[in-house]
Amino acid sequence: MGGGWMNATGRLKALQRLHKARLRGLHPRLKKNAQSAQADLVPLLQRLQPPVPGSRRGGLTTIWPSVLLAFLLLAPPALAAQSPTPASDAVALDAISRLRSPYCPGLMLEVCPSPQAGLLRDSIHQLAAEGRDADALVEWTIARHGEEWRAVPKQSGVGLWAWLLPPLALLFGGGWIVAKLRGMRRAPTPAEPNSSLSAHERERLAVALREWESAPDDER
Amino acid sequence: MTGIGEVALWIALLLSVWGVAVAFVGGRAGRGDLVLSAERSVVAVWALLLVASGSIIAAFLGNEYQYQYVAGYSNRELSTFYKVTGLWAGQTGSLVFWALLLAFFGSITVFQNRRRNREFMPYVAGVILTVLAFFLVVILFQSNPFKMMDFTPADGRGLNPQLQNYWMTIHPPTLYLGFTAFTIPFAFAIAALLTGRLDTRWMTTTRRWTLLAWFFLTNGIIFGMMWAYVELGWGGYWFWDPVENASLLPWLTGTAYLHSVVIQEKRGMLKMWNVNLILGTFLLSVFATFLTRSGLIESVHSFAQNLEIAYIFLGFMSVLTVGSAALVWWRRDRLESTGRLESFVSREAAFLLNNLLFVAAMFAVLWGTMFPLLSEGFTGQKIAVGPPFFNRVNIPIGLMLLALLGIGPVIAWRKATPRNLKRNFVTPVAVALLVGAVLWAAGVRHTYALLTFVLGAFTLTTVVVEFYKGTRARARIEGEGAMRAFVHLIERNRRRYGGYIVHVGLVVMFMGFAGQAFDAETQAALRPGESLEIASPFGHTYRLTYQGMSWYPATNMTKMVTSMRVERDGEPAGVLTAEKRAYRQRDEIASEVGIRRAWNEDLYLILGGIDDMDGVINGTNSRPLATFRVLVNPLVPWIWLGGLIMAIGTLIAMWPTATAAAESPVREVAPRPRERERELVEV
Repeated sequence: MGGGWMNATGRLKALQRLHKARLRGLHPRLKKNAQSAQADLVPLLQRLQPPVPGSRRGGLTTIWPSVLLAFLLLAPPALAAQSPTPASDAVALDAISRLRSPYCPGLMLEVCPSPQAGLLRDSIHQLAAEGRDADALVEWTIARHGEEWRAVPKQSGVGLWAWLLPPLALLFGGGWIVAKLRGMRRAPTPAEPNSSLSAHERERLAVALREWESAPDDER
Repeated sequence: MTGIGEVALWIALLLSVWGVAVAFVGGRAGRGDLVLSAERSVVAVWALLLVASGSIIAAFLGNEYQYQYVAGYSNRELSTFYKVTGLWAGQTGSLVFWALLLAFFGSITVFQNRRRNREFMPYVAGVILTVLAFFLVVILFQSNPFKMMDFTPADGRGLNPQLQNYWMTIHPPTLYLGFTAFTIPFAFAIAALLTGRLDTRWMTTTRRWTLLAWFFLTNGIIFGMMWAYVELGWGGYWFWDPVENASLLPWLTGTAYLHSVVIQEKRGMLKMWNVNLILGTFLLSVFATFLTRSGLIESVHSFAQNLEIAYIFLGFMSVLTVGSAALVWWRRDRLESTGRLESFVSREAAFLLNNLLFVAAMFAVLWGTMFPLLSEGFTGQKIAVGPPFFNRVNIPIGLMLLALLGIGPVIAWRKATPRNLKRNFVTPVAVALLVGAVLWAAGVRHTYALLTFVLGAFTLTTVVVEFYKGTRARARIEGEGAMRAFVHLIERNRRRYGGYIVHVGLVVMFMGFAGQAFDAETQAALRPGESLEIASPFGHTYRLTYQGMSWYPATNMTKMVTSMRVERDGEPAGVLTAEKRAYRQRDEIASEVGIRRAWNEDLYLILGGIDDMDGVINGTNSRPLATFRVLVNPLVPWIWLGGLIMAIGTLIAMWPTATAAAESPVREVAPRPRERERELVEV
């Protein structure tokens, strides 16, 4: 697709087609959930849709051409600002990677095959295009769906314990090993080799030990 | 036929309890007749479990839907293959299968040790029968595969579509083989603690059992990854799912144990550590079984939540943990090291660091897996822990282990001199830096991926140099050709060089994981004739043209198949298909992905959704809109290749040599105690 405001409208229409395609692939039992999840998409669509000619909403019957003209003149800059860009897509993907899917138990949002999850991902992409950062997108989703869908524990409060304990355990384990081994090195050495061995005999003993260590495992 | 299955389970339980009693009494009192009875009980329990398993399979094949288990996991349309493997499709049958495998391994152990390790065998048999008795209690009182329905349905519910896959068929049995095989070294460790015989004999006796368990567990985990990749349809293979993590926990401690026993054998160090490691590995195997079956932690893998089974397993694990800890404490004086560490720059220190990292990884995975449960229990608020946490914590640990893979095998024992370090590490470090420079120049900027390739090159170089030096020395000494010397080198040192080959496999696998940093993805809604393009990080461009959609009924299901013509860099590269399958009995729709495999990357096609499915079926819509998601997964084939190399290396390491098969001096010198035990029985 080309740039400009047609892109945004075209993209949203494509999203709508996508949504319908997903709906038709669904079992009827799931369609009900999918239709309720459309609430994520409808407000975005309504923002860009022109008022219906002859509708009573806002009493626009007599000024419809003016509204349309204003839309055509004013929409491009606003809509251009809302078109997803590679940068905003990266922000959206970052946020999505930190969320579990409310629609697939045990799966992350980025891989959940559910159509509702697809709608939620699309909404996050759109909000990222409007300028929200990844943290805000995550909080937006958590506010709508619940704290249990956060995949990465917060680095504060109770969640901080999730992050602290593994490195602490590694440090503690390392420190314990170093202390144990230092103590081992300071301990009296085992009985010294028999002092009656000559230098030549000690050399032969060392060679024999080396050969034994490098011998095949089953020959020891 | 099927009626005797439940009777067999009850008799097996009674025999197990009898066997436990006479095993420990016989061992304590020196009553060879009781010990013989206990060992025969192990074999008898195995035979009875065979009967029970056969009955379950017969019920599946005979479509006996009066049994709840059969009705829940089979139907008339299911193929014979999946009916037979229905034995382990669900919770109840899989528990019987677990017990069957344990009894089988127990019988082999009894046979292998009929003339040796007689002081251990009473307690080994007792421990194996204790675990068997526990599983039989769970089966008979909580999860009976012969439980009847209130009525007999005309047909069963069928098997979960996602389980109707080759990899899912072999993944659970392979994992169970790994878990149950770890029971044998555990039993010997307990026997060594009870008898006070804490030299290396119990470890050398169970060395191949440990390798066998590790072999099966490794392959079981890899088969699970393959299943997830092919069947679950999201392009990934590992998700840090709680049940996946649970199978990884004993693998991590088991791998640490395989390395640390070398230190005890060579230097007499780490006795206490090794005992604790093998006890912990078995406990984690039981924990993995508990986690899968209790359903306490949300997982795509777990069976339905069953709190009663959860409490029973928790009780058993508590008893095992407390009992094992008490035994270790009781024998702590005999577990003191006789060797000393002489330098922090030594192979002993490298192996110790290796162990620390494996145990740290185990702790991190265990902590992350249990955190949601613990946070909910202590604060009332469930805090989820997903893949980003596990990746952030474990990737650095994995990279450190990758470095140690190259350092540990070649650094000197006791104390590495500067000369030794220079001789062994200059070339690998140089190669690693060169690889890093080349990749950097090629534009690779992902830190972890770059480190993986650099450290992988370092480790591969150390292994290649080791093989080269060994082959050259052997060729010179024995006057053999290079290839012959290479083969004989491995033959004479299977454990060492088999281990090197395993390390190579692990490096290749890690590089496969690193490829994830360069994944490409695109998605589009297409009508027949329309195309999409995707670029791969290796510089290729794939063009996929949607050709059309067809549907047809198949066994158990209706298939909607879409086909895409693939071109790579403008050249034809075959056809990919992706499907939606509607399973009639279960009223479920599942996706089947299409994968085009190359040596360096996979092209992965997912069918997202179909517009106007009715129109397709009725033939009124000749140009149905379909949504596709296409991925390029670089280096994923290396993961499977690495797994295959690891399997080959493990088989080489555990293959018995001619000298090992000979009678040991102990058998030659000692009288034949089983004959003595038989005499006692006859008297």
